Amino acid sequence: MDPIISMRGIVKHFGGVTALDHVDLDILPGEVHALVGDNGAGKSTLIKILSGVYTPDAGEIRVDGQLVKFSSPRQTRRLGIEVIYQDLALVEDFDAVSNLFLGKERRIMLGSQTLPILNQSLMYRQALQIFERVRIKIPNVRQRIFYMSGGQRQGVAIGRALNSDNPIRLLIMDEPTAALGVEETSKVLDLIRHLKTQGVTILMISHNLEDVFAVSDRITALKTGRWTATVRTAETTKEEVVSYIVGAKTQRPESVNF
Amino acid sequence: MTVRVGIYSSDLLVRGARLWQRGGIYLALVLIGLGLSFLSPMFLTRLNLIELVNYVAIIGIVAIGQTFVIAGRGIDLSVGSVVAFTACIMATFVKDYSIPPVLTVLLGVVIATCIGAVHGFLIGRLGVPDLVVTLAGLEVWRGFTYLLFEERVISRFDPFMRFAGNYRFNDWLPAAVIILLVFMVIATGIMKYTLLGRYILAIGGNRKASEYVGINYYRYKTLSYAISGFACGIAAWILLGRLNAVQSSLAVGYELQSVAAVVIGGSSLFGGVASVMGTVAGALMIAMIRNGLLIGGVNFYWYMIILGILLVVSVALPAWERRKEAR
Ligand SMILES: Nc1ncnc2c1ncn2[C@@H]1O[C@H](COP(=O)(O)OP(=O)(O)OP(=O)(O)O)[C@@H](O)[C@H]1O
Ligand SMILES: [Mg+2]
Repeated sequence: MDPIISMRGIVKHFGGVTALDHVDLDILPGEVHALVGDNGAGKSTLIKILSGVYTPDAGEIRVDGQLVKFSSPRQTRRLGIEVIYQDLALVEDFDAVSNLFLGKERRIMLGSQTLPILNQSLMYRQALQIFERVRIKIPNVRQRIFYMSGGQRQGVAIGRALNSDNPIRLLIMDEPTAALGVEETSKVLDLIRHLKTQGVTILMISHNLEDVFAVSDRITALKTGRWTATVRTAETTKEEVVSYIVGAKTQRPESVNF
Repeated sequence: MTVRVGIYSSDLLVRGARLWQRGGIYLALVLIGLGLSFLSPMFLTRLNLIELVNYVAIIGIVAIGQTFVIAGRGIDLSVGSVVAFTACIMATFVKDYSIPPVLTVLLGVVIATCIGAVHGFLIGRLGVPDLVVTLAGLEVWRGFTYLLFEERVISRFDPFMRFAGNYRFNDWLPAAVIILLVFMVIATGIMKYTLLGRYILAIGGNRKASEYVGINYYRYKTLSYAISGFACGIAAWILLGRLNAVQSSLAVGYELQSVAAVVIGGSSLFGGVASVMGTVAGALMIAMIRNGLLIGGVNFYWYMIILGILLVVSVALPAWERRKEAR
């Protein structure tokens, strides 16, 4: 299977800090790929390069085999890559529907003319469909985000990522379960599994190996900016992954069938 | 405040705060109105009521503009100076340069709108904080006004210049009230049902999130201040007509009164939540308190003190309620 995303030799410096040092990463269609590593390993930097927030100092990115250069998050979104950042980037004072459509509000049409007036009822109906599709239980979609639980917020953020005008190819999630309790974590993991059955490819960052082993197909580990391993979840153990994370053990790149 | 909350039943206070936000303000309006009519026979006289609603119209219109600024997590401290500057400019246009009244009013409103837009542009593009730009604006526009008009008093305007502040339909319904109501309906529509209102609220509610989805922060920052400038222009026209005389010392203290009207009306001082209707109710409350003190013969400085306290309480209650519910 050809990867949808292929990153090779990615280097990124911040002043004197080498955040990424020749990192390789392949993402296969339909997989849930986990990115692990200690604090400061370079995980967030890698996905920000993939989403166009940062430009790499060296290395190349291919999407469907085509060499691409991202310069803004808008560009990557046009290619169907959606990112859910750790802070979720929701407007807490707005309700779920307004957040779902933030920046892509449905508007009233007058003949063939689109007016700058919100089509509230259309957005409401489409929101219910989207939440249905991602199986997020939000008791009242008119309630403000401020009053919602962490899991519901994550659900709204995922819903927004999926509510894209372009068909979604890759959903990137930065620590989707970090702020959640046990029950909510399992709901979000269920949601990830469910999205996978719908054919959505997912790259998730997590510090929690329980979660990683519960949903991922493959795992890539970074250690202080260096790639240490890419392994199939089914063929490894938590102990082994930990040793890749701390750098006690590394794979040889040529041994990996990415 | 917080100490008291710990000692007395805090749930009651939370409920009180929420009730206040939902509609308590309208109840308070009725109570103050009833109270004033009982306390003073002068309150319900035609002349006093007309004086009252004209004042509501001026403060209310400025405060509606302020609502858009605050919705975008800004604050416009320059409103009083901009109103004074615009009123004086209008006066000199008709009196000194004999520009036709209709054109004068149009020019005045356009100039005021541009001043607001410039404030917004400076805040957005140069990244100077809202407070700094509009505090500077408070000084600068007042400074220009004194520079150009010094101690001059320009008075006696023609019917069109006086229309907004002086005309009464059927000899009782002031034109200013009609203007306020029209402005309120349009502003409510913009805030609730258009992209413009939604995006101003979005940049105020969470700038990062709104920029992430591609909302242009600078554009909506600028537009929110332009709306405030526009409102100041209209208010200047009403003020000119009401007083039939303008001078440099006009419209002092409007910044505090408009901000107070906005937060009393239930909008969040921290952006993201705004109610135009609430703002008008807030303006009505402020105007009634002022009116009551005036006809009651109370030392007018009490007005400033009460207004200050009201402002702090209106910000403290919802902020505190939020902290409590977030737990
Ligand atoms: N904008 C930046 N400017 C300077 N240094 C940065 C910047 N972003 C990241 N770094 C540095 O690059 C390194 C990698 O950071 P990054 O945020 O990618 O780590 P991470 O793996 O996501 O860590 P965490 O698990 O704590 O989120 C760190 O040493 C960090 O200090
Ligand atoms: Mg990170």
